Amino acid sequence: MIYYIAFILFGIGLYGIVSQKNLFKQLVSLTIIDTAVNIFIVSLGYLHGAEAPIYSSVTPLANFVDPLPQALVLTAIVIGVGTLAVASMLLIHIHEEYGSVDADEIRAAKEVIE
Amino acid sequence: MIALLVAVPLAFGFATVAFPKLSRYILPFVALFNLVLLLGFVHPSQVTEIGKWPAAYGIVLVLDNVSYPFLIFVNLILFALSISATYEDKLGVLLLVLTAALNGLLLTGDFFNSFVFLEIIAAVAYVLASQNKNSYAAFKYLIFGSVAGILYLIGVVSMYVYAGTLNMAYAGFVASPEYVQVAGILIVIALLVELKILPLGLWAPDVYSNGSTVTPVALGSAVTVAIFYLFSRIFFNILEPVKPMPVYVLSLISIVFAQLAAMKQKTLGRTVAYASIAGASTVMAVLSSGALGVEKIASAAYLYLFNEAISMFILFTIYGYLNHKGFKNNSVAGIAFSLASISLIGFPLTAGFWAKINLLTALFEAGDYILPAILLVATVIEAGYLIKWNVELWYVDDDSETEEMELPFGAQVVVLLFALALVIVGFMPDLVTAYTDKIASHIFDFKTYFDTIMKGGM
Repeated sequence: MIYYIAFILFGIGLYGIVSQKNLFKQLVSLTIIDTAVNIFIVSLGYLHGAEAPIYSSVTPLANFVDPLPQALVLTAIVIGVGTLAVASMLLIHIHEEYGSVDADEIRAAKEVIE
Repeated sequence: MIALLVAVPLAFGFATVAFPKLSRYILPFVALFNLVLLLGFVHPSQVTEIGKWPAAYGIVLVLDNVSYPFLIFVNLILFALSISATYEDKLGVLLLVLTAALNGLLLTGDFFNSFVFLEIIAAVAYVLASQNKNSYAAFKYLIFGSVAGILYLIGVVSMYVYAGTLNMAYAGFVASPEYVQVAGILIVIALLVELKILPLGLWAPDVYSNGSTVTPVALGSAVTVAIFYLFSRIFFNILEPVKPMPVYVLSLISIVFAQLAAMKQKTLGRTVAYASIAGASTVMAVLSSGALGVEKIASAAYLYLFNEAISMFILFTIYGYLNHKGFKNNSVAGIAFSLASISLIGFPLTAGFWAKINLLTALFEAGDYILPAILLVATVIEAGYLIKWNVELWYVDDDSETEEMELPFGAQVVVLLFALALVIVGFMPDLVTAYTDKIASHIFDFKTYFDTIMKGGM
C-alpha cells in the first residue's frame, strides 16, 4: 500500500513540474517528488511486525527492520532541505529581477531587456 | 592520508565562512596542497576506511590508477581557476566546498557517498550559476539537476536492494547484470543531465553564458571531467554496461544539434556553451559506442576529454573577461584563444589533433563508421564558427568610447600556459597518452579494483 502512495506522490510531483508555469509551484512539486522518494526508500526496509532498529533489553536483535534505508533517508532529507533553501533564494532573486515568478512573464521580460 | 584531499578543503571552507575574504586567498594554497599531496606523498593504490569500518560494511575512499590521474587533473584545473578567475569573496567558501566534493566524488568507493558528493557539487553549481543576475537560468538548472539527483538516489537504492550493499566493488561482485539494469538506467539518466547531453542538458547554454569567469570554467571543465570519471567507474569498472545503444544514439543527436546551435548563436558565450555540449556529447558517444572494453577507444576518449577541458577553460575565461571586446589590446588573450580554437578543431601539432586522429583510428578499427562520419561533419561546422569568431575578435572595430577591458596578470599567465600545454602535447602526445592509456587499461579491470578495496575487508 505504501508503495502506491509513493508512486502517486511521484506522479503528482512530476505532473506539477511539467505543467506549472509558476516557478514556486514547480519548486513545491519538486519537494513532493522528494517526499515520495523518501517514503519509497523507507518502505523498502520495512518488515511487517518487526521492531524499530534500536538496541535495548526488550527488543529482540533478530527482528529489526532494515535501518540502512532510514539512515539514507535522513541524509536525503537534509540534502533536500539544502536544495530547497538554495531554490528559495533563487526565486527571491528572480522576483526582485523580473517582478514575477511566472515563466511566461519572465521570458517576456527577458525579451524586453535583450 | 588520502582523506586529507576531502577534509582539508572542507575544513577551510567551514572555517572561513565568517571570513569570506580569507577564503579567497586560501583557495589557491588548498588546491596547491592537494596537488603536492597527490604528486609527492600518495600513490596508487591506497584505500582509506572511514571510521575503520572495513569494506563492504563501511565507506571507503579509493586511490587507484584510474582515480589518481583524474584527481591530479581536476585539482590542477581548480588551482588554475583560483588564480585566473575574478569573483566575489563569498564564492571562495563555495569553491573550497566544491574542491572537497569533487575530490570526494573521485575517491569514493560507495554508491550513497557518491550521491552525497554529487548533491554537494550540484548545490554549489546552482549558486555559481546564479552569478551575474542569472537566477532564472540557475533555477532551471536546479529543477533539471534535482530531478536527476532524485533518479540517481532511486538508482543507488535499487542497487542496495539488488546487491545488499552500497559498496561499489562488492555490488559489482554480487549483483547479476539483469537485476541491476533498472539501477543502471536511472543512474545513466542522472549523469546525462549533469553531462549536459541534449535534450537533458538544455539548462547548460543559459548557465554557461552568464559571463562569469568562474561558472562555466568550474562546471564545464572540472565538474564535467569528474562526472565522466564517475560514469566510467560505474559502467566500465563495476557494473555490466547498460545496453549502450540509446545513450549512443542520443549522444550522436546531441553532437549534431549542439554544433548547429553553436553556429547559429549571436554571442560568443552561447557559442562556446554549445561547443562545450558538443564536446561532452562526443566523449559520451565514444564511451557508449558499443565497442566497450576496447582500451584504445577509451584512451582516445580521455585524451579528447583532456583537450576539451583545457580548451574550454581558456575560451570561457577569455569570454568572461573580454566579452566581445577584441584582441587588439589583449594579444596574449588573443593568442591563447586562437590556440585553444585550433586545438578544439583538431589542427595538426595541437592536442586536439591527436585526440581526433586517435579517436578516428580506434573507431575505424572497431568497425564503427557512424560516429567518425558525424565527428568529421561536426569538426567542419566547429571550424566554421570558431574561425568566424577568431576573425571577428582579432579585427573588431573597437570604438574608443567603450570601457577598456583586459585580463588580469594571473589570468593571462594561466590561459597562456594552458594554450602552450595544448601545443606541447601536440608535439609530444605521449605526455598525456601515457596517463590515458593507464586509465584505459585499468578501467576495465574489475578484479584489481575489487582486490584493492577488499584487501583487509570481507
